[in-house]
Amino acid sequence: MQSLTKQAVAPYGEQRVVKGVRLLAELNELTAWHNQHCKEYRRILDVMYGGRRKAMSLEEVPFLPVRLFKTIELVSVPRESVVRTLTSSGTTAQQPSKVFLDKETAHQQSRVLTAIMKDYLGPQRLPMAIIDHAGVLNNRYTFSARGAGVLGYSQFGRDHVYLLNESMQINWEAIEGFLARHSAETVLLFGFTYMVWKYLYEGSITAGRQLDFSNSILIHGGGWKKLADQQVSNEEFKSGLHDQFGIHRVHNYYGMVEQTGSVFMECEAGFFHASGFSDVLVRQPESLEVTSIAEIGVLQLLSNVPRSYPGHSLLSEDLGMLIGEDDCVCGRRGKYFLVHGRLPQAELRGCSDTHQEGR
Amino acid sequence: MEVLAPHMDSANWKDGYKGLLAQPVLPPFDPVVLDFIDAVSKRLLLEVATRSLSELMVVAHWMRMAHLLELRREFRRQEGLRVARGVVVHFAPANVDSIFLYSWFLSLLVGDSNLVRLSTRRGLQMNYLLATINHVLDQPAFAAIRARNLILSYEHDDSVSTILSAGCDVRVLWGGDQTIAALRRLELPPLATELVFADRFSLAALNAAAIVGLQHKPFHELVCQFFNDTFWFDQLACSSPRLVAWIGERNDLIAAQKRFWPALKAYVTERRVSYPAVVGINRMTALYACAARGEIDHLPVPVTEFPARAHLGHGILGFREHHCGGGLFFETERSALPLLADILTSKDQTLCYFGFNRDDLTQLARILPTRSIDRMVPVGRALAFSHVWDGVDLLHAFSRRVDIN
Repeated sequence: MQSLTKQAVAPYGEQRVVKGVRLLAELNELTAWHNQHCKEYRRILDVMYGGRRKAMSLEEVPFLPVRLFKTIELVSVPRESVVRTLTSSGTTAQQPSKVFLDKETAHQQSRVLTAIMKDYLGPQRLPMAIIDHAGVLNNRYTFSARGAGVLGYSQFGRDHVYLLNESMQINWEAIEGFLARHSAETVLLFGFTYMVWKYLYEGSITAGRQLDFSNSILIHGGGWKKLADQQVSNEEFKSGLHDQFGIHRVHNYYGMVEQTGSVFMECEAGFFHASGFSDVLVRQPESLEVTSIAEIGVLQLLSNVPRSYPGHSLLSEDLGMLIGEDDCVCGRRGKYFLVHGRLPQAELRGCSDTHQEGR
Repeated sequence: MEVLAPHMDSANWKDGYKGLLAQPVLPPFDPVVLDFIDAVSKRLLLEVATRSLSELMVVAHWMRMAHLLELRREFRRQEGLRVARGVVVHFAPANVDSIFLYSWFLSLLVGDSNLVRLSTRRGLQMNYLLATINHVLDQPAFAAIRARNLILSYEHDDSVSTILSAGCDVRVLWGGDQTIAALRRLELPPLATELVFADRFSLAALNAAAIVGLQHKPFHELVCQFFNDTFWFDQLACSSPRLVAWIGERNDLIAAQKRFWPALKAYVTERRVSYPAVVGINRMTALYACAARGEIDHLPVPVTEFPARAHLGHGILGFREHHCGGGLFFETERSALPLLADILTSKDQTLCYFGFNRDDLTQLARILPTRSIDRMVPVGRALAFSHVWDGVDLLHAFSRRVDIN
């Protein structure tokens, strides 16, 4: 815990070698913890890793394919200490992922996210506008990824206002009141990528009304899949928001509900950054060998946060490319990378369910 | 709603349906039916030859006149006078294109009228097949077939399926558990019967000593046949083996595995079977889930190897649920074939065998757990469709007996 406090001051300050040694020790400790407290995880180490427990390098840290959280329940604390279950439906499977949080892990997620966000937002809480409707927080016990995101990021703002009403229309009155109250301040805008584009950007174009958000920082995330279908790139996204609202500080974050907290933020240069709480490896999709810089592969995400469930090392189904380490022009240390969307999905044949397709 | 055959305005499907209900049944193996199926077969063979659709070759072969006459002999061997039941509605499986043809043609052969519901997802092969069927149906000689058969395609819609079910004498359901549960809720007329072909699992039993002793040529032949059984439908056909049970003494088991798997891998490579990376990730995820549940106890080869292998643990049978096709083999060993009975469940349909004689197989068949294993076929015949399927003789089930005393 002491090392975490240190990073909380500077999540992007550690040099590669120092970080590598520290993170490996933390991840090995988590592997040992989950091995001891989650019998499913222990069996996985036995069968899939030949019983190996301790990794000699980050590449050797055992990983779980992220979709496993959709097919089985993995938890490393007694069920009665689970205070919250995060769910995400993902894009293909019918079954949602289930992530079990106890008090400690939930608290740690929020501390880690705070440390990362302070690096981008500064130490002060900013007036905050959420591009969603207030109903997204309903159901306290099983949060959707969107609800969890909104709740998690709300702690970085004050005087919160929701920019949309329940029918996903822009609440002009709320926005104008908010902007009038904070005309002299930097404000924080937060929303899911798709919601920002579809309801704020396109909504205001349809209404023919522009808004002045020039003194704001937009934090958005949750994936590009829906926008990629509409052929909207990150560049178009940014320039569209600039033209319509005057926003010029836009940070996308990348992460998954299975590793809430230790997100990868997009820096001013347009790259996602691993923080001191996380790391990323890129693996060749078939052989799973770690690839070299600038080679596309599937992303393996490491995080020192998950303790109530074995999610500290996950093989995602997202494609990406490592750009470099410790030498990004934005000045932050750590690995920086790009994400290129999901591994293309494919359908096999066979006597599959004839009924599912229509439902 | 789309009417795929015969040619008609899709908006008029209800008229087509009513017209069909008004038709009397045909006598079993009526010449017009035999000629129709044979004509489809001939035309299909022509197409297949020009377009290299090898999977349709098997279907076309099944439909040729010589085989139809064989089926007629089979049908006539049954006791008593058998006539068609009436109207059969077939809910075909979404992905194995050819199944609907077998279901439909067997029913047609015994004289029934047919409603066939196909998935809205159709591949290239299916489109050739439908075009061929329509071409033949358009011929004046087949007016009697045209009036009695209707192939429809619609997104699952209970209101339509209810209408189809209300007019039928036999309902045939092919598909996964969910499909079957959903369709079974829809009411049938009091006199109608139902045939259900649910999702199944299949395995292969290989005699280790026999494999070790094979000459090069028959060994290669075995590998090719095994490949056809498993990879033709990406190992997702219900009858494709997903578990390999090695039978024999320890030394033979090791030698047979050492000989078989590398040869299969080489042949898979030679045939250029490769799947998108996501299929590999799915396979791996399935293995992790099996490992987490204690269903497998070790991997004989690295997790990224293709085809993938996983060794079963003891006494836990849930591994069947995780399999996702695309070249993944569970493995287990027994010292003798009958000892395999302990792992079998009602989910198991086909046992593909190599190196066993009829006595060996009969010995196992006598001690099968309830409902398990409906078919034992030599390796290479897993996908060969028979009129006896899942323990049901379709020629029998699609007809009824008129008892004359």
